[in-house]
Amino acid sequence: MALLEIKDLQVSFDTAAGRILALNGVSFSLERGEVLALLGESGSGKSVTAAAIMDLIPDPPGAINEGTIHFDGADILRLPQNERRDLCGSRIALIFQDALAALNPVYPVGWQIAEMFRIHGRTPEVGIDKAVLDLLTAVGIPDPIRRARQYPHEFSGGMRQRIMIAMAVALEPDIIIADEPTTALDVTIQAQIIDLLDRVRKRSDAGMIFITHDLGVVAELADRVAVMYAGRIVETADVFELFEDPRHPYSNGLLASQPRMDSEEAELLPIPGSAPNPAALPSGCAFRTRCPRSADICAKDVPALQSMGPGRQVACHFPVVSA
Amino acid sequence: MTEATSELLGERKAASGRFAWFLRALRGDPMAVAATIWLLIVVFAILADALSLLGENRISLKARNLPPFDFSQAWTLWLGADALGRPLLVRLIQAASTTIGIALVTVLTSLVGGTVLGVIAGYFGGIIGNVIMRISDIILGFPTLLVALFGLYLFGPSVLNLILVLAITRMPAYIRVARAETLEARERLFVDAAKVFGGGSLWILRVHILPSVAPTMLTLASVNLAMVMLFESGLSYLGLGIQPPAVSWGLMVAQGQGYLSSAWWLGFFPGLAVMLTTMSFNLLANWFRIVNDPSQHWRLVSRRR
Amino acid sequence: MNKPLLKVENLSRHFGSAQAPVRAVENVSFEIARGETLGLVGESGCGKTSLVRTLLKLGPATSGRAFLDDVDITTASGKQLHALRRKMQVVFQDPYQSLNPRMRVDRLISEPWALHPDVLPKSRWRDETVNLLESVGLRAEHAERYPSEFSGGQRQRLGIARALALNPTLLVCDEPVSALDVSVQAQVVNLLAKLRSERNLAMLFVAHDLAVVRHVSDRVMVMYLGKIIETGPKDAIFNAPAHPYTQALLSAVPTPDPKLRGSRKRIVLQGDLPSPANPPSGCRFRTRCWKATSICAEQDPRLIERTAAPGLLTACHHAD
Repeated sequence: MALLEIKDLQVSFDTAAGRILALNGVSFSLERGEVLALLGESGSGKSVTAAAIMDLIPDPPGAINEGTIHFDGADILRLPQNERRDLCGSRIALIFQDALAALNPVYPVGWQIAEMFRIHGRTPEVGIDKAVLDLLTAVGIPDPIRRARQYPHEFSGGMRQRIMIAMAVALEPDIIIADEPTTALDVTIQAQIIDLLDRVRKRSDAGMIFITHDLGVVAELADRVAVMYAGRIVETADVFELFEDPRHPYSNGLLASQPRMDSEEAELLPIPGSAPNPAALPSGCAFRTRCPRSADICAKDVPALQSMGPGRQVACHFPVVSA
Repeated sequence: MTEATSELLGERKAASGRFAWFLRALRGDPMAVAATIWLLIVVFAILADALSLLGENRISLKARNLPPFDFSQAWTLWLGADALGRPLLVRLIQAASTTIGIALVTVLTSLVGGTVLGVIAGYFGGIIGNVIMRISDIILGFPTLLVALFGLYLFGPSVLNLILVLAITRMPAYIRVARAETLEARERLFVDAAKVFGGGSLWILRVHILPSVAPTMLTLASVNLAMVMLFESGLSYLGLGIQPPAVSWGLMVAQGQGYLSSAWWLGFFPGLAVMLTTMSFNLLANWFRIVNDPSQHWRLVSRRR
Repeated sequence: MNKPLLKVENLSRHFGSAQAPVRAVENVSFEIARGETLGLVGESGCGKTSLVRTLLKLGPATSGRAFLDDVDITTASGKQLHALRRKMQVVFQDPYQSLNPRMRVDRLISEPWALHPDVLPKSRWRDETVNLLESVGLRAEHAERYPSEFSGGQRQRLGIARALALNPTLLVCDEPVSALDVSVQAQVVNLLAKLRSERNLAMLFVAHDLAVVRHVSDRVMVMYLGKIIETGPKDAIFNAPAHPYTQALLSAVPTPDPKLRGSRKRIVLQGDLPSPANPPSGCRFRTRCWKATSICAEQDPRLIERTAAPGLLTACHHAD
């Protein structure tokens, strides 16, 4: 049994423009010690997936209409509210993109990390201070005794993200969900944070869901990738296979449109058009309006996610098969 | 962009000109329609009064404190009569022109003056900005009513003085809001873009800043309309505002106050008139703001559903 | 030898008080030739935005000069400045903020002509608007819409169309694709490349995405804490950078190829960018540099060409 197993998840939001399906039939699983990247652009549903797992979907206007999320054997969508709350933060942790917004500006950071222990009440009060200092040291914050008393605005972006990571791993969770944790950071700082995430994850053998739009970051640390487009998973694959041999035309287009630092291309091959409006998705396959391979059937039937080899699933009527 | 909004925008393009577009957008908002109808009634009443289509404002001892809704009487008496037997409906209509006239002119004066000064203070800052802000702080430092009382006592109660005093005491609020909005708009990237195209201060103020500031100012003005009507009634009550035999809604409320237990309608109907009018202005101001902001058009669409 | 289109000499931009200034840009000199694209890279806080704003005359220069076609931008004013504006335009990073949401596209595009009435008679605005929209891949009917009706990529196309309305010779692109979705970035990069060759535009292309910079630039300039620390032809910069910071910057960029995982030597810099209000003495990079010695704290290295790498200018005492 997988550590986390999501089946047929459907999440909708009621907006002025009508009901939109932010997630539609999303299924994937995560094993212990595995890094799964959710790759997609804005509006693809990758952050909504994280919110659904963490019970952060604002209801209303949002709602989980169908599907199950099994964690360690139990469907957490059907757990009582207090058990669900306790799970989030202690056994499943979330790292936000915007650490400044996620930290409370009026409390010292040490206090906020200590709060993690106090909320879940499993660490004796006398041990908390030491645990906080150990964590700050572990995430590479120099001079932790002094820094613990400082407020979030006194830290740089990279340091704040380290503090977020310290809070996330405080209770040694089984799953770490990182929602674009390095998007707001500069590349040299991004490199530090990716290193750190990899280190803390390996220490506790946690599973990690890494949400990003950056193919480079995916190539750097993911084991498996789920490519999302317009609320659906269109391809899942081992990271090496995905970059070597992308099967879905969207994955293929994404890879082809990226300029590379280590080689020179005469012209980029962009995907035409832009992501569809979630309130007015094309019929059938949502990608068909931008797809070079689309045919009549694509407008009629939504392609199902079908197995194509071990660990490989593709949702396309005409998958790319490389020569 | 949703289908529904494009459809609405499509309608707008088809509609012949801006006025037709306003009418169409209005249709989507029942509250705004109700507000428009009430204000139209008030306007027609004022016109009717101006054209002397109403009966005379005669004192009639027979009708002293006549209660309302006695439909056997002449229509002018349907809302009852006051302590001197004057028909309340006619008095209300006569008061409408004074009340709304004073309120509109006052609000317009402080709106225009406050916006101009506030935008100048916000955009240019410096010494001029500081002087404007300090003066408005000083005005704001005194209680409005006290300044108004003092001013009217000094210069004598007249309609012109009343308007000036009310306009000047209300102006600091406009200056502050206009300045704050300008400070924000000034930092917007599209202002930088206009500068790079060679847009001078006047161009940027006229084309970019004012249209961004205007909706907030109009909303503030509509809220202030109610406040000005109330201030006017307060000053009239103290004998420094409208002088009898002229009449305003505020003065009527003040006069009706003494009869609250015996003839409630004397204060109630003018009060209701003030409330309906101010509410209508607020609703219409809100609607107007949405119609004038392309990014808010979806609100009109969703309301229509 | 052709005269450069843009020639910047010892340009500085300081903020705050004269006693304790924040030195956002310090003694920067460079040139851009006609039709050439110069990439400017650096992390947030390195001064690239301040440099761009000073060149666009959105803020005053503290010292130094910048000539566009022999006219000094830093001192130009009035008519002279107005004429300069025609030659130098900008594409901003955020296409949501740089277009006034209350203005329809036709008004947005013709705003430059309203400000420069001698460029185009009013009777031709409509035709020329349609031409511009089509040249950036939009359609004539888009002229009657508002910015909120467009996607991010389309808005950036509008921003580009506006920037081209006055037919400039220099286009400053300030992070033109970093606010866009990945699948749309390539469209805009290609569009800029197409327009550049069609119109012989010179570009100053500012970005933090090094792969995009490599793709579009002829030459590249690297900034750190307000100074240019390395500049040269893009192949020299990307294949054999000599400055430790450039090396670290390039090695930190994740490569979209999992097979290279672990095979590349990644230099992970320690610590954060120092404050530009109180930069380190001598070489500004020395606090994070693994090569730093005592001379780095004493002397600020000059930007010089070394015999080992012709064309590549490096400001480092210990350049490879």
